[in-house]
Amino acid sequence: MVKVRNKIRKRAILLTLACFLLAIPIITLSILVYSTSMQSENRITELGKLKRLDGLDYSIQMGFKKVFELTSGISLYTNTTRVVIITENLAAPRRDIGEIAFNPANYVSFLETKYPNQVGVRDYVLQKMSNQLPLVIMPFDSVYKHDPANSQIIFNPEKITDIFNCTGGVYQTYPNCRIAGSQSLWPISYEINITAPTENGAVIEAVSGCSSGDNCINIRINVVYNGAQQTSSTYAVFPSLTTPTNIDFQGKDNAIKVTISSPARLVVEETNQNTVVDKVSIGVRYADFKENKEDIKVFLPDNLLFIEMEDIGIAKASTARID
Amino acid sequence: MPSLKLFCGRNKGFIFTLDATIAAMIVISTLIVSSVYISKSREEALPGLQMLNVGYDILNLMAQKNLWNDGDANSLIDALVPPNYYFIIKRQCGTIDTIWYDLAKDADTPTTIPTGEIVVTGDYAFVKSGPTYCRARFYVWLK
Repeated sequence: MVKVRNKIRKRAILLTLACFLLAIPIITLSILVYSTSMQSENRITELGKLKRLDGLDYSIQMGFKKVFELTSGISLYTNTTRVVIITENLAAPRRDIGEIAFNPANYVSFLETKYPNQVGVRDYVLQKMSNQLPLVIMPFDSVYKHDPANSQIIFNPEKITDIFNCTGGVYQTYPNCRIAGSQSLWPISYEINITAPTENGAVIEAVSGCSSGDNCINIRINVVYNGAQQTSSTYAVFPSLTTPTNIDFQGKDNAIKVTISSPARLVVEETNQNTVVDKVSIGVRYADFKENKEDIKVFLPDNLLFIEMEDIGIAKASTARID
Repeated sequence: MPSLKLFCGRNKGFIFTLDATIAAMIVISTLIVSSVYISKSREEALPGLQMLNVGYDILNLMAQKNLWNDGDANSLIDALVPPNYYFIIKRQCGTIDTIWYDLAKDADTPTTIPTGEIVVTGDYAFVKSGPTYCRARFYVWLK
């Protein structure tokens, strides 16, 4: 009898142990499933918040683009896979070359009022925009900017080989590149159009440039009056030439200067404040870019704005694409 | 003791197999039930993301095409909002919130945002010619 009772007791212990062992994985599994389900829900909620952040960020960027289009007087155009043309309308409101019309202060104040603690615009970038309004052309990393104090528009390529046309030469990289054929066949690296409301005999002064066999940049300067081209000159110049090409204009000697300095940096300067110019257009031909023209993008300076979502601890810094 | 023989005698293998089978069935059924709950919770959350995407897609398109006047925006929303969604955009150009569009394909969209239902919202900033600075908030929920 005692033996039987002992056996039953042993069996009961075994059964309890078996139940316990079975229960452990089931409970573990349940906890795992529950936590996975909660995490999955959290991830989806976070995805939604990220989408909101992204949507708001994109809308603000579009807003900057719109303000830029409405107030800056600058238009951008890419007519081939290599050529970017930046045109500044200086007629309305009337400005000197290098003066900046773009002013996003009201838009920034609107954003900071309507989205407090969420959207911010960095002061130093705003300062940079009001001082220079640099536009970054990607993927070349070139910068088109202004110097209002010196009435200058500056185009600064990141490296000389972006602009330098090295076609058909013995050597294929600057500074040992040699351009073959006659100058008339060389591609134009910079084309500058000056449009004026009045003109009486614009003269573009010749520059002692370089010739075939040297390292040259080909630039063309056009003066347009009353919708028609009045004068046009094409020059081959050294990429490090600091002697400007002077344009006598509206009866004033050397009213506008065009200077090329290393590394193929272009400066268009208004030296006489009484000069009246309606438009300045700078066309830049990139030497070796073979991608789609849609890949050329123009941005305001980096890290212009930041958006935060404090509840999920995510912040995004971005700039605005304007073209 | 015949009953003892049944449990611990030569049928011991059968009992262990039965035990293992029951255990396996319990584990499998737990997995099935839990996976049903997991997929259900995902199903509940995913339409919310979809509604958010629809809302932002419409506003992005309006911004791209600069369709901020009432007639153009109305046509665009008519064309793009799925028929099973209610969609409202509130905009604020200045200080007063106004219901801009109470729309879905039909005219039965409530003019107030429902409470007690899942309503997806998103914020948008936009600039109209002028420039006039505006903010918009869209609301999407299922019919």
